[in-house]
Amino acid sequence: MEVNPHDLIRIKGYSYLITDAQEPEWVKVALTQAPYVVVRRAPMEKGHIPIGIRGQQRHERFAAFLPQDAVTEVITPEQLVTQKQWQQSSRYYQLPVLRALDDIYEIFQFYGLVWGPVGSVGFELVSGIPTAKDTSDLDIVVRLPHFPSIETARQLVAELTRIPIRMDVQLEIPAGAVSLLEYSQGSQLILLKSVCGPKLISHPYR
Amino acid sequence: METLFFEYPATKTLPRRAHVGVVGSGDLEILMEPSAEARTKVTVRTSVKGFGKTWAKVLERFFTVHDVAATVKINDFGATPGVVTMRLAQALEVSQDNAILKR
Repeated sequence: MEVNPHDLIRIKGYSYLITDAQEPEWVKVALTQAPYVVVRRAPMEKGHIPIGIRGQQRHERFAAFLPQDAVTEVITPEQLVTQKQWQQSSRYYQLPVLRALDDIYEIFQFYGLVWGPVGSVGFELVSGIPTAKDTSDLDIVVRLPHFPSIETARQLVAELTRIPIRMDVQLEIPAGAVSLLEYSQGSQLILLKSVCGPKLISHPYR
Repeated sequence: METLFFEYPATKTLPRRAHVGVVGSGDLEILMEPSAEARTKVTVRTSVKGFGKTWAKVLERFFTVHDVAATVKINDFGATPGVVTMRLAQALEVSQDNAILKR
């Protein structure tokens, strides 16, 4: 089964979770309300998928592993884009971040890039549970086979900056993820978040 | 939002100002500036409350190894300790690189 960081998984049940530590109370509450977990950027362990559970509060995050047979469905961020899932949301007119996705859609469409919303917005679109707040940043991943040119990155940043919401765009290549903004600035070292942890790498096109 | 302060003794001077990192989930911005005082003063503004002890541990470990008199401002968006340490190392490196370029 192929899963990538940020994919959401609908799980068969709370009891399937494999945890090192005793999970906090809110974990069961959260999963009863919405049985979705997010794939973490970490190595598989004994064939088990590294996942995270999000609670109502910002500090409520819990890491665990999931056996593959506990997976009911995998929803990728890019799937939400194909169907413009945000337009079906009952909160489309209430949350500026959801309407902003229409403009972002046009931009990425123009560059022919595969992308999707993650974080609280992605979670809300999949689970139907109001998770995004007025103050939420819009987290986006762009999936690429390799790093784009620095020129493309700069143009993307310039276009996205015109949209009046706070956005955090990560470029996901097979080796890991880098911030689009940091990448576009062309500094000598950039932070790559890889499956084996974060590391500083030399900018590939500098 | 939570603001934390830390202070350590220091003897060596930081060559030059450095700004690294980005605003974004799981990341942080660091501004490191030379200080005339023989101290390292760190201000952390973090979006995630309740991690004061972790910050104390991570920063103390770093500034014990790297002795630099500096004023450090950190703007954190839920970075892991690994990312924090790496960004601090990057700030030091950029400060030294910038110094070489300006020579």
